[in-house]
Amino acid sequence: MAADGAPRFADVYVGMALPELRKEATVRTLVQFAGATGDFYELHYDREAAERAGLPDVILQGYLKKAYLAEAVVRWAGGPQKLRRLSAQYRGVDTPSRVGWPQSFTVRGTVSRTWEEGGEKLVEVTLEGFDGGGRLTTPGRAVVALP
Amino acid sequence: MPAAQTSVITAADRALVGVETLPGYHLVEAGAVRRFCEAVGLDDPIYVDAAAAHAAGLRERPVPPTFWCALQQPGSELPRPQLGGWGTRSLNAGTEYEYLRPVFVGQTVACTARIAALQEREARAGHVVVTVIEYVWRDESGAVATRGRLTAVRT
Repeated sequence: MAADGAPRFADVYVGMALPELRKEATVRTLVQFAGATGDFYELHYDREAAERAGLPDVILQGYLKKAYLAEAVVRWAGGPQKLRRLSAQYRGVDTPSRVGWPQSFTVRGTVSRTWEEGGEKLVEVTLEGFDGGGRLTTPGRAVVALP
Repeated sequence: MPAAQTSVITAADRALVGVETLPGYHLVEAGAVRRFCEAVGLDDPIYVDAAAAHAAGLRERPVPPTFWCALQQPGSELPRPQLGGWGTRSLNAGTEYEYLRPVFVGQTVACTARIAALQEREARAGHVVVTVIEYVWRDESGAVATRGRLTAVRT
């Protein structure tokens, strides 16, 4: 481990678990994210529109969930400059946390491959984003370069 | 077994594959990055405080890894396959970013988009059309900083 607490390539092994990241997105979060990205698709903040589309509630933006996956891996790796690739699949919908119905979005990560390529020491992390009920809704994958 | 759906992708749709939009220019603006960080609860000060970025050995505040979704506007409309009006809903099935060069607050990036692939197949949900849209962001030198891919599934 480096002085800044970030992992070094030599310390990393396949199967190593990243610290779990737990996030809570409220409807306010979804509105803030819509404003921050300029994507005002109603399913993310208008409950009536969501219900008309057959959903139980408004749903988290895919890119919001991807930001959570990114945060988990970048926090562990020691900064965004380490990141080489990041992907997310949106397999299931996630609903926001509400008063009396708290919901979390939890990211777990596991090192799934280590190799050297193009002069860089690379680590692949398999990411899993779970909804409040423990359902895997958002699998992903990241590649980071470590010292 | 029901008969397989005949192709819904027209020659006009196929002609859209590979056609690149004009570049859309985006200033990576500090306030926009701050609002993005607040929205996603990203509390690392390197994204919003230049002194913290310098202390981390960076020359400026870096772009948050998924901020690219806020810069995803090319300079001209990306024509979408019409599929002869086929299909009722389109889902974003997944996205991928490839980071080639770092970008910092204060830079201007150019975003272009193109349809990289257009395919159809039989899936559990029935006939589906899969469109892969590729986004490319270039920095001021013209070098590709980030490449993005979005897979949309129409049913």
